[in-house]
Amino acid sequence: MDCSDAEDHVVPYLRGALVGDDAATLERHIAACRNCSRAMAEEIVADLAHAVQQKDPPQSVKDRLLGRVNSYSPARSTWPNLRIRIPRYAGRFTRRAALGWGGGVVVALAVILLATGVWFNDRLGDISRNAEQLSDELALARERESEVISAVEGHREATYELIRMSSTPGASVNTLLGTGPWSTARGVVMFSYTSNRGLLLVTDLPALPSDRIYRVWLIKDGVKYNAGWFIVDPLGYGQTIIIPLAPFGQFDGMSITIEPKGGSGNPTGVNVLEGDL
Amino acid sequence: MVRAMNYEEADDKILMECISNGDKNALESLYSRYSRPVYSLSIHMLRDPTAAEEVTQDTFFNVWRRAGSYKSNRGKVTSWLFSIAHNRTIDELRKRRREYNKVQYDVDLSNRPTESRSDDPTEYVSVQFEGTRLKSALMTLRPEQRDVVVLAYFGGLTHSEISRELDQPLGTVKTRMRLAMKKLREVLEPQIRESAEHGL
Repeated sequence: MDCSDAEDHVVPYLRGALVGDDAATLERHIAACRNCSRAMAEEIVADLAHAVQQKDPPQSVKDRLLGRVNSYSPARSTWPNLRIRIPRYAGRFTRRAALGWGGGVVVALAVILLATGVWFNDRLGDISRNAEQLSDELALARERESEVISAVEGHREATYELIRMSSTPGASVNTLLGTGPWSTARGVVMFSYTSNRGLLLVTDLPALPSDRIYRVWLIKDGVKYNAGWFIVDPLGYGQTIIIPLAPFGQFDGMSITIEPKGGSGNPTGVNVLEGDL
Repeated sequence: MVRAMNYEEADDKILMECISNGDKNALESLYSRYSRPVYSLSIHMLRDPTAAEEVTQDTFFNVWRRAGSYKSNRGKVTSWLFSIAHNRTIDELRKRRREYNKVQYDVDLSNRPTESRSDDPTEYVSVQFEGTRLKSALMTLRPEQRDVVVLAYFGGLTHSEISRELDQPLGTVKTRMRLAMKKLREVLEPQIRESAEHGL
């Protein structure tokens, strides 16, 4: 089961409509996949929000929101609101000395006021744009923080599994070697035959574009079976927990290919890492 | 002839499409529908009306700014909207935890009198959820499942933090969480649907 399959099955599962092997397959995927685990957690939040004691927010919240939205709008123009007030006596003064120096002063004053208004208008626009940019950067930083927390959780999980597995009777360690352009890459996979879980750690693999992932395959009699996926950090390190559909003892090899994210059930890329089990 | 948009009857996904095209009336309509549960969730977690107001405002402002990134084939609008609200509230909880240098899960009880505070999530449920339909739903869970739900959803703790807090393996925490979510959905969904049908 890959992520797009899991996505389709989460809601039926939570409603109790997914049972037996289908439910067990989804549970195995969710247990090993942080993204799908998070997606399932999000699915229940709306229920919780409706289930707590309900209270209306004050009207001022909506007013502030709409004010913020109005000032955010990129199509906003402050020109119609620009008002330049010329003192009342200016007209009288202009009439008295229409051709005199007074007229020139009034015109100059008007020009200065207009230029100042335009300048302030531009500065307000700049400030508004800067505020929007900072707000966007803050939102990105929050998303990044969430990703880092998720990555740290993954590392902790891997460390925990590594120690747990190494203390389990029947644990086995195998190595994977890089092939072709990826010959410097290495992988190590530790299996616990008693819990039927595996931990894969890889190094020196290149980071992939956001629409690609590394897919793990377990091989039996030359046939490849999907066993999960992972991405690597900028240093080329990656890891994933493997929970196979059949006991590990039945498989005779493992390989890793580059595949489209959420992709097909069959391998489409060449092996970048491979090894016997 | 151009027909006027009926915002009140429009589907959530239609509203999102309008919002992504800069339609403020659609945003107002979405706000009218969901500001109540967003605010309620936030005030319930933070116990601070002023902070909950900020979260509510930020949530819908983010909807306005990020409407274009919502993909209708990736789930319900409400799941997306409430996850924004929940994440924003958890950010606030974590910020407070850092500020107060607190590591206990019951940080959202910080405004309550000291003598009524408890380290027991079950007691937390009794006090915090009194009079809500959530309490009866939480009480249908096994105690160990209830603990992880309360700590994750209302305490803002990560699975690893819960694992340490409860001194349980991470895998066990995840399994309990998964089973608890399934049970909660089964209990809550019919109640919520019934409330919606009666306009509650």
